[in-house]
Amino acid sequence: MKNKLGLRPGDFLLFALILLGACAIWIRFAMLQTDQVYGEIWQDGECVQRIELADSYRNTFTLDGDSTEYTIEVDGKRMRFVDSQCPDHTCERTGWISRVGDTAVCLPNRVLIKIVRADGSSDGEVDATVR
Amino acid sequence: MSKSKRIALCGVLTALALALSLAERMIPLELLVPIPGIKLGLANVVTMFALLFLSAREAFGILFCRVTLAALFAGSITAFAFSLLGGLLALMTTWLLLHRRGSWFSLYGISAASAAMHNVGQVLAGIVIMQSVNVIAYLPLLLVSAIPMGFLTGGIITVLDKHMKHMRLV
Repeated sequence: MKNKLGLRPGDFLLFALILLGACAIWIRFAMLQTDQVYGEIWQDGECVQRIELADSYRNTFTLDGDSTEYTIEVDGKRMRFVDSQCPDHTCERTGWISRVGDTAVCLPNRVLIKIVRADGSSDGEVDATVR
Repeated sequence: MSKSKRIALCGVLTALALALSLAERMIPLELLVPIPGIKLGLANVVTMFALLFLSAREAFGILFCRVTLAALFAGSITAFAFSLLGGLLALMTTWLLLHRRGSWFSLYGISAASAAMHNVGQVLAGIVIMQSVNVIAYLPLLLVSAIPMGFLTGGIITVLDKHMKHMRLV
């Protein structure tokens, strides 16, 4: 193969490998970012439970809060407060949360639940900022 | 070539590589392609030159001095880790592929592979420093950019190689 630049067959193999590698990582990463979300339960500023949310997953968590017991129901890729013993029930009225960045708070128990990505981020468009 | 001449040549090449790596920072390539760490890789031309006309050992010496001095002049310890890991991977790739130069690969392909491995090294350093695997997200675009950059540096080194045959510098 003789061309103007003097490229050799192996060159095309190298280019192909580079592009293939780029595509593979890109696809892998795109899947990771859209698919996997986690539900986190935070109490007093500490993450006490991290749940991998999947369509077929159902569970309830009953934990001791600052003042009372509280229960969180997980149904597929959404979660909510249920049967809270706290006085105001604001957390229950928040209802289901399902999108990345959604949160529900129970102030009397100092508990917060939220939906995050695999890396723990929950912001909308930007995944990370590098300075 | 005498030993002292080799050493002097290494010094000149180190200075040239340093000047090139400082000069290419002034080219605002990141405005065109918004990825941190993207650059032309002109200093890689010097590494390839050293591998072609000197030896792997001297090429490594030049690389190490260049990276250290660049970190001292303009960068930080993080910049040092990024460049060193990237530079080392690029150097090893170039060195390996040069064995099959002419038969399997041309300088264009070797440059592109070298640039790609430089980016891989950078991202690896990024993963370690930032403690996050998400740095890999930058790799696909950086890898794709390695191909045009490979043509650029490959073109430069091809021209150099052609003219070096008529020169008696080395």
